[in-house]
Amino acid sequence: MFCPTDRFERAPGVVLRPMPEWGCAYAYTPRRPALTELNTTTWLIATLCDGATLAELEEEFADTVRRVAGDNAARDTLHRGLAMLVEAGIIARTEDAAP
Amino acid sequence: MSNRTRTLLYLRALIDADRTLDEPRLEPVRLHVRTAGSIPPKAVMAAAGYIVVVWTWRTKPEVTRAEIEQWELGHAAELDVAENAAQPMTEIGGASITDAETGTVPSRPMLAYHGTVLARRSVFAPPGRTVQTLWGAWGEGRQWLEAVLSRAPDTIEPEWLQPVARTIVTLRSELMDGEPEVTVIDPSLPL
Amino acid sequence: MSTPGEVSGTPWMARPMKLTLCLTARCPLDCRACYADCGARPAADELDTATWLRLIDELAANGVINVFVEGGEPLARDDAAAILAHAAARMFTTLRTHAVTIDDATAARLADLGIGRVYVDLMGAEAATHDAMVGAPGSFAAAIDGIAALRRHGVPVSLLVILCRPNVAELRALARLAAAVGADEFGVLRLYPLGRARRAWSTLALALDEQMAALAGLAADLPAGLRLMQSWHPNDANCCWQNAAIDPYGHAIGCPYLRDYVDYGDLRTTPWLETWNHPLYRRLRAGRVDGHCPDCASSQLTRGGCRSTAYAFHGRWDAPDPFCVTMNKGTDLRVLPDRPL
Repeated sequence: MFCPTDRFERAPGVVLRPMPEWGCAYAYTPRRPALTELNTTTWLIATLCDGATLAELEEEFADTVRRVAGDNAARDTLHRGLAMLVEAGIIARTEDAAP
Repeated sequence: MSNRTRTLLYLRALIDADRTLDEPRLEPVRLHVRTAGSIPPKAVMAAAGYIVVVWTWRTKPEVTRAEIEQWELGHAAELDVAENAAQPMTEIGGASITDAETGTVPSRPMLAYHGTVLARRSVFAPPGRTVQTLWGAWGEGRQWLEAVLSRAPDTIEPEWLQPVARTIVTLRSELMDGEPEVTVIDPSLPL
Repeated sequence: MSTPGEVSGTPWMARPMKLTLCLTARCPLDCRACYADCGARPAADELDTATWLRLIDELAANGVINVFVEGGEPLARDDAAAILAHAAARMFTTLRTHAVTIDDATAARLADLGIGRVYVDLMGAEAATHDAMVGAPGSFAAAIDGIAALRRHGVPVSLLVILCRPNVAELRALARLAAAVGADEFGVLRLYPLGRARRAWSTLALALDEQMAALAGLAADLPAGLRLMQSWHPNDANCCWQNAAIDPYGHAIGCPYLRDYVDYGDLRTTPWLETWNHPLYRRLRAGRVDGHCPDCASSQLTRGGCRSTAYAFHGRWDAPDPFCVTMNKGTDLRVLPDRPL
């Protein structure tokens, strides 16, 4: 489970290669050498993870997908995708030390 | 405009155009063969007269992987009935089979769906397009498989096969472009 | 739901994502079926370390995320580790090697560098076959030791074989060997009309029906858990649309199998993406091929199979690839026309 103040960003060394021609992106994770295909949803989440907090991510993700998904569905989808990206070593989570 | 902003605009437009938010998904580029491990070992296949039927087919241009996977779930659910429960495999003559590798008697449904995979697992093959769908069958399942793949659903007995056959009709009418190329792998035949 | 990326049946790529880097033509072996012509030019003509590093930076900046490093024998270069490390920090990096020089320390270093997979060529399942094919006694045993070292250090290994007359009878044994040594993939490559293989063609090449019979026998007897990679029908890729490659001298050649046939530009003086737009490169990527096989076209999204092979046999870039059962049309693959390169 993530906390609203957790921050998310690209894990060190990870290369994200958008492939707009095919509607997907590829990620290279050098620390555990692998190439992974991201579908539109995980690509969007990975793009949003630029050091933002979970709360910020929830807001921006919901805004981006608001024409096709309500807030609850968006939040659930974001959390599932985020968990997958962290597990794969593409996105790193840091607990916010700020009060 | 920053790359991030440009990417977000693109993604928003793509999601809007698709009118759906796909389930988040990550896939190793070297795709897994979904059938791995689900097809019995060759010696067991040969003893049981297990056949594998492969349909190689082209998807309609607008069909996505997600739609194929949705079909898969429905198809697999129709096969997941008591009449098709896994049972100890027997040889064609009826004697039981012991798997030489594990020393156990393998237990399988008589009619199995082994999955649909990209026909070509080229590193950067675009998603979708030509795929292969695999089924396996042994015992009475061989006749069941032949029926659901080739006959009108309401002409098929036993009755539980009819919804299975209807999913095949859906596959052919909604996902498939043209006719499938059919390959039957029969390990009991000399190769 | 729309899927971007396909324009009039031809896949579209604005710029390539993967590339083969033919690092060197140096090699301690003398393989009869080699696609390169190792040792034919002085090693001094090859790109130096600094130029390779600069090129890798240029590739990364332009979106290459996967590089396949081959040779010759890439590890024959003294600076191989530096170049591989530079690549692996920026893109998924795989290595093709004969593995004869891979000991425990080398395997550990390759694992530390982050090499994602190593492809090892074996020319036969028996030491006698392999060693005779590569012209170096002891190579088979050294390669097997090399694979074992790689596996001990957790590096995924694919075993490759170039299917030809001297090893066709050992194909199934090679698959079993691949599984036994811990490879999870067995790649059967066809004989390409290049380098030394071209010169030895008449003694190496098999008829298409012999090749298909060997593949069918292999498919029926593939060890559990071993993935098979092969490039015959319906996998006759015309992969020019997505391929890029650089030869040891810094020339863009589109595909390693085109190394004897094309030159899209000297990357010491020409930006890499400029070579992607070379008129011949664009033409080959369009996939316009006469009498293409519908099966292969539907599985590859492009038509006509390998351009290198088609050109070698028919002398035309729009000719069909005769290694496909549908497109062969009576071409005897054992006879390679003697065309000037």
